[in-house]
Amino acid sequence: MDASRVREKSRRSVPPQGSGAAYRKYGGRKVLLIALLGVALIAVAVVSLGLGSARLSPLKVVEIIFGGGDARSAQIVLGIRLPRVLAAIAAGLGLALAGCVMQNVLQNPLASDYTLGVSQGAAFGAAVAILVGGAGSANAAGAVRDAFLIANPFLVTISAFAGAMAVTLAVLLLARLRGVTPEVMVLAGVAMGSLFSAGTVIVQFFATDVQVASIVFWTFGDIGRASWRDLAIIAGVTVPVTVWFLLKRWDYNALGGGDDIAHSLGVNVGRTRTIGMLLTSLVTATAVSFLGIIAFVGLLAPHLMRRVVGGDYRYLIPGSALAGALLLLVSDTFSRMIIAPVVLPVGAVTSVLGAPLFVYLLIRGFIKSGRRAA
Amino acid sequence: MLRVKGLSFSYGARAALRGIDLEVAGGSLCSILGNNGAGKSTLLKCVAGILRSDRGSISLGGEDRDNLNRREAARLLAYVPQREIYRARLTVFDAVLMGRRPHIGWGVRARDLEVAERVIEELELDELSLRFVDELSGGEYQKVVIARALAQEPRVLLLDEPTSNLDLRNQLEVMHTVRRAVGERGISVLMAIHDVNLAVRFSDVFLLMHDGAALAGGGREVIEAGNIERTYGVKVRVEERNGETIVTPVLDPPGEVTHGE
Repeated sequence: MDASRVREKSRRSVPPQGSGAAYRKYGGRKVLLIALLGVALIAVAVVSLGLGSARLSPLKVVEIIFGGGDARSAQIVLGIRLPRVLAAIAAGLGLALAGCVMQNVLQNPLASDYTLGVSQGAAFGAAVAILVGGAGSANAAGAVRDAFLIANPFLVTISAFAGAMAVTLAVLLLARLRGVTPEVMVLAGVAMGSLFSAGTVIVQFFATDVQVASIVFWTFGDIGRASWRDLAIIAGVTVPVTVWFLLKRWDYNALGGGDDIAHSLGVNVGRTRTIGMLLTSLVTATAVSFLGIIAFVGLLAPHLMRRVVGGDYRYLIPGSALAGALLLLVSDTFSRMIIAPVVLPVGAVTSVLGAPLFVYLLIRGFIKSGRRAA
Repeated sequence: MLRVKGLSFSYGARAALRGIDLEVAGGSLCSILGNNGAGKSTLLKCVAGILRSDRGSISLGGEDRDNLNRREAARLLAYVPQREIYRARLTVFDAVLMGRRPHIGWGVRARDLEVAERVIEELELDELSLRFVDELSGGEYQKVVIARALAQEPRVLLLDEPTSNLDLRNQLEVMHTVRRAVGERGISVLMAIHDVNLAVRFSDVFLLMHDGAALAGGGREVIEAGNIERTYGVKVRVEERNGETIVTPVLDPPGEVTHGE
C-alpha cells in the first residue's frame, strides 16, 4: 500500500478500520490455528513412528522417510509403523469429519456414529460374520489381542460394512416416509441402534465362548489391524468425501440457521441432509469395519474445534478433521506405549484422554460467556 | 417487484390460502394483517418457496418463480422467518456474510466482503461485527438477521413478524432500518405483522387476511373500521390524529365482547 492511500485511510477516522478488515484478521487467526494443528499432527506422527520396542529418534525417523537409515530400521518404520500411523490419521480424520457434518445436517450436537446406530450396525455385522464364518480359532500363545484370531477378516469387514450401511439406509428410508427432518432421523437412528445392539446380544447368546470373545475383541477397535490395502480403501473413501464436504461448507453454514433460512439461501435442505447422512455413514462404516469401533472421536473432535475456531464450517471442517486425526494418533500411540507390549483398546483410550479435555473446554467456555453476559 | 396471482395452498384437507392476489412494487412495503392462523406466515412461506403452492403463480422481479432454480431464486428473494435462532457460534460478520451464499461459488470474493461490510455499516452494527450472535440482545439480533437478508441483495424481501419480542424502541428502530434500506434499494417488501399501528405507520400497501382469504388490499384507504373489524373480529375505532391513522380496539362492557363471526 502506498503512502497516499495510507494517509487516505487514516484520515477517514470513523471507523478507523472497516469491519471487513477486522474480520479478515479474525479469519486469519483461525487459519493460523488450523495450520498449527497440521504442524502438530506431522510432529506427533514423526515421534510416533519412532516409538516402540525399537526406539528411534525423530531425526532418525525423518532420515528414514527420506530414504536413509539402515534396512532394519527402515523396515520397522516404513513397513510396520507407517501403515498404523497413517491408518490412525485417516480414520481419525474420517470419524471426526463424519461427526462434524452429522451434527450439522441433523442439527443435533449429540449426533455421532454411535447415536445414529452406524457403529451398532457394524458390530452386529461383524458378530454375524464371526458366528457364521466359523471365526475365532484360539491362539493362546500370542499376546492378549492375538488370542482370538478372526479366521476370515475379509468376511468380517464386508459384513460389518453391510451392517453399518443397512442401518443408515433404514434411517434414510424412514425419513423418506416421514419427512426428512432431524427429529425423525435421530429417533430412527436411536431405534435402529438399539435394534442392532439387541441383535448382537442374541448372536452372542448362540455363539461359543471363543466366538463371543472374538466378537468382543472386534468391537474394541484396533488401529493395528490395518494393512496397506485396508489403508488404501479407507483413504480412498475418506479423501473424496472430505473434498465434497469442503465444497459444501456454505450449505452447512446456512443449515446452521435452520431449515427455512437454508432454504431461503438457496440450499436444497432435504438433499443436503440425505447426502450428508449417506456420506458420513460411508466414511464411518469404512473406518469402523476395518478397525473396529472407535467411540467418541466423532463427538469430541468437532466439539473441541467449535470451541477453538467457532461454528463456521469453512474452518470447522478442516479443523475437526485435523483434530480427529491428531486425537486418534495420540490415543493410538498412547495405547501401544503405556503398558507395552500390551496394546490397550484404542477406543477406550480416546475417551480416557478426550473426556477430561472436553470437560475442561466445556467449563472454560461457560465461564467465558458468563463473564461477557455479566 | 413481487406479483402473486391466485395463490392457493392447503395443509392436507385444510385450506390455508384461498386464491391470494398481490402486487408489491419496488421500493414499497406491504403489510399482511390478520389473526393467528389467518395464513400470513403460510403466504410468506409459499412465496419463499419453502411450501409448494397448490395453484397460482409467483413472479419475482418479472421472472416466474417456477422457472428459477434455487440459487437464482435466492438471489432475487430473501426471507426472514419468525423467531429465528442460530445454534452455531458465529460472529455478526459471519452471519451477515452468510447472506452472500447464493452468490458465492468456491470462495468468498472481495465483493462479498464489501457487501457485508457495507450492510453492517448501514445498519450500524460495526461495533458488534466480531461479537457472537448468541450473545446479542433481541433488537441487535433482529438487525443482524435483516442485515443478512440485505446482504443477499434481493429484489424481494419477506419478513415474518420482524418486531415481535422487541421493545418499543427496538420495534421502531427495526422498522426505520427496513424502511430506509427498502427506499434506497427499491426492494419490494412483504411483511407479516401483528401491530396494526406499527404497520400503518411504516407501510405503503396492506393485505387484510381472514381464514386464508384476502378481505381487502390496497393503500391507506383500506385501513377503516369495517375492514379491520372483519379482519380481527374485534370492534375498533380508526381515528386521524395529527395526520396519523390510529387504530384502537373498542372494549364493550364486560360480557358483551363481540367476536365478529
